[in-house]
Amino acid sequence: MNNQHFDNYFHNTLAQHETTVPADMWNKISEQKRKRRGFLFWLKILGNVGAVSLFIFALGYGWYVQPNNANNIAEKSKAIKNKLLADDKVGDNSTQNILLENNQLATNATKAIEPAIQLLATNTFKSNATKLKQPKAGLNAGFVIAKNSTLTVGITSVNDKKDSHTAIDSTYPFNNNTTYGKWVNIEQVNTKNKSGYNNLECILETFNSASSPIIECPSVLNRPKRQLNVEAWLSPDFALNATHTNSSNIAYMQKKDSAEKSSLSYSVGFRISKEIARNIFAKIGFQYTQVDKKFSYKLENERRTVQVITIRNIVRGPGDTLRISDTSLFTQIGYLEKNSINHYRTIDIPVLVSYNFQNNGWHFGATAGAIFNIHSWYKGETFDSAFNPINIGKESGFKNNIGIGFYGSFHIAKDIGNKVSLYAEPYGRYNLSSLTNNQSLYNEKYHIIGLQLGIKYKIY
Amino acid sequence: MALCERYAADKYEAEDMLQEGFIRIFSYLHQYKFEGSFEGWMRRVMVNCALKHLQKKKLQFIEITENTADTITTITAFAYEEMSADELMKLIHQLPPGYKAVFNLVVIEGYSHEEVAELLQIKASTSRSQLVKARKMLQYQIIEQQKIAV
Repeated sequence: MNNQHFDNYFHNTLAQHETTVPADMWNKISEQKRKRRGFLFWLKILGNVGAVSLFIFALGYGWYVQPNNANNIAEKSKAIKNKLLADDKVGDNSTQNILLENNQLATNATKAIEPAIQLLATNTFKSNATKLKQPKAGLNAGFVIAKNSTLTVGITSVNDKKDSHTAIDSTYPFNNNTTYGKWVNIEQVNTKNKSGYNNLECILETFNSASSPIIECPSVLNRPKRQLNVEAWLSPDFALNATHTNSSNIAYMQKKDSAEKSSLSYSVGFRISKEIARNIFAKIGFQYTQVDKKFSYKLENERRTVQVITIRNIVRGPGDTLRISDTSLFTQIGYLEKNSINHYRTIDIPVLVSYNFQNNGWHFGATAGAIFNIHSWYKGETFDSAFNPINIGKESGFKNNIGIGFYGSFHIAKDIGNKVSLYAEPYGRYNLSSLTNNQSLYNEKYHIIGLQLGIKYKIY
Repeated sequence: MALCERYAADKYEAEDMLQEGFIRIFSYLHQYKFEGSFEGWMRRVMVNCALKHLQKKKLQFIEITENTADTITTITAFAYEEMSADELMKLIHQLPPGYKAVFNLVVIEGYSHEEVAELLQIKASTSRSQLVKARKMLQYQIIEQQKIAV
């Protein structure tokens, strides 16, 4: 009962108790709210930029994959194939030169194909892919038919100068009934053979399928699809600082250097990579980088008030002891060690070119390019000229955009599926501009070394 | 402000709590479902914010061995009924952080021990024992003050 009354008294007295709110409280709340709104504003801007980029990308992709209706060689190729299947005979021999991989020139198409087939028989079926080079004028198509233990190779070519096409094929005994080949890629090589025709490179890939005896070669009328990949990555980073003073104040720089220490930072981003030429990729993306630095300093002449309660027992007589509590306040003066982490954050667009080559599911390459900063912002502290801590930001001479940086890397990737591969990419980023403007006490640049660990998805 | 002061160690910490609390109120205003009073909703947000602030400081519920508990037998109502709100606030401030949080939540805000247990991620029995000890400590302080006054 006593306790209930005791609690009720506290509740009734304090539940609606009001105290004076500092006069500047509302300004502080407004300021903090404005800062948060700023962050959300940029988040929305970034979201919009991403959405527009995706829309443009989707639009471009749709345009790119539209079928080319003009001079539909695919249809011609199909007609020729049907004719060959129906008549079970060969077509006209072509008199065009055929350049094989070993640069052997032949004036007779059949002779030219013969070593090609031998090449397939001896090499292709032992490995997954064999390259076969064929010189053709601009538009070509071909197919491979395996039927009744016989391999038929058909190649059509259209000479755009003469506006005519020929079909050449050859039939060879084929001992392995369960192994068939298909053309999986025909792409134009930007070199010309001795006859002045562009070389075409075909990759014949073997596979096992007893139920698919006829494999149609894709037309090469439509431009061969260049690879398009999406990469997502995360990188632990380490920042290297380059700082020099604007005021010849050596003591200031010594104080600053002793207070700051680089710590582990990170970047995260995604990129779209498009093959623009054989083994060469253009990459563009979006990335966020956060560089962290420990900032430690001492605040001198710090005052702290300590409450000390002294309890004394005063014996006034037998059985009459009075207990007295004295409360005293002491002010202590000393120094306060403060440690904080400064964050330097950037959002950037990397524009890169990469050279890649692959071997048995492993990819190797090098990448270089530029990184364009969209926005930079900071959180943390630095010293003013009197060595007092101040917030880093626009007021202390920090820029909202650090401009362009150079990027260079090597990478190694391993396929883990038909379309997915994992990669590691040690990289370096060299920033050209300083974080601070000329009004600041010092100029500071940071450069980054890191290791991107990512996943690549092949869209096509 | 008084609500924050009851949970905070000092006035500056209370200001931080109040500031953060209002930012949260503005941020989550759309989540107010017009169920119950708006003041009550604001109060809950502010309390949550204060507790979060305290949890950042690693609020600990330590058992304090007291020689005060046994000495208190009864406290009469007139011992504290003349005390002002500011005096009660001072007494609450002298409580250890764990006692203070539980006493504020249960006695002033009216939360049940189960709700306190959920808010502070402690057991309901811990909340009960902390309240008992907080109450005894407050009563002891009141009695001691009276003795000095005598």
